[in-house]
Amino acid sequence: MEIILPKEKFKELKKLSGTEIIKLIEENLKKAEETLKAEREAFLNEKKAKLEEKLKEIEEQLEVLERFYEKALKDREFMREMSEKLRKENRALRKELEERKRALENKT
Amino acid sequence: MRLKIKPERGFGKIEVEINEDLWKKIKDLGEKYKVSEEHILRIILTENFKTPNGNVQNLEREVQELEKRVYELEKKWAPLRYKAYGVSEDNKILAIELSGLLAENTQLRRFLRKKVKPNFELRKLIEYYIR
Repeated sequence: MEIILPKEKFKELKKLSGTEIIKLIEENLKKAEETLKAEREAFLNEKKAKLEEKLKEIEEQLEVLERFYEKALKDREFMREMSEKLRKENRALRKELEERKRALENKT
Repeated sequence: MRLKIKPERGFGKIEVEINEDLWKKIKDLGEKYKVSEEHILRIILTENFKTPNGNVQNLEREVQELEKRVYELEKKWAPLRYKAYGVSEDNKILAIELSGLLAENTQLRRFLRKKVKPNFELRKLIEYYIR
């Protein structure tokens, strides 16, 4: 395994013996674990913020969609009723018109 | 495990042998936090240490809860969108039909010299769904 370090850090390590470097690694494992925890924490905080934003967005969109759906259902009912009413009315008006035409034809 | 340390610039290298026991500890840590052994060694050798501010486990739980909530809402969203689209399409067809019926009604009333009834609410609705 190869690790590339900044020149200054490398110079510092170069002053230590192999045993001292191993000791340094061994003694700092706990600190490394804390660092990994802190990195995970930063990642989770970022993820949490994104999820909260997404959740807010979905909640808002869902509310709009629910309102639209409810309105569309009511509108469908209303338009169906109006359609039926107009069909009946037009049928009656056509009949009336036919009768008037016939009456006019009979007169002439 | 043989570890080679090199500088970013310049020459020279340090070589050390990491014993099995220590290597296992590094490996286990890497598996626990899903990072490479190289990353752990880099933290130690650069002494770039940090400490967490709060309870990471609690944060993990909060994120899981949020993920679950987002998933539930997305699950709700998809079928509702499909249903809303269906009703909206029904309304579009109804609006086209109604537009024809209203035109016929106006014409018949004019022929019969009857008062034409303006239905603003219905006309607004027709316009909305046809658009």
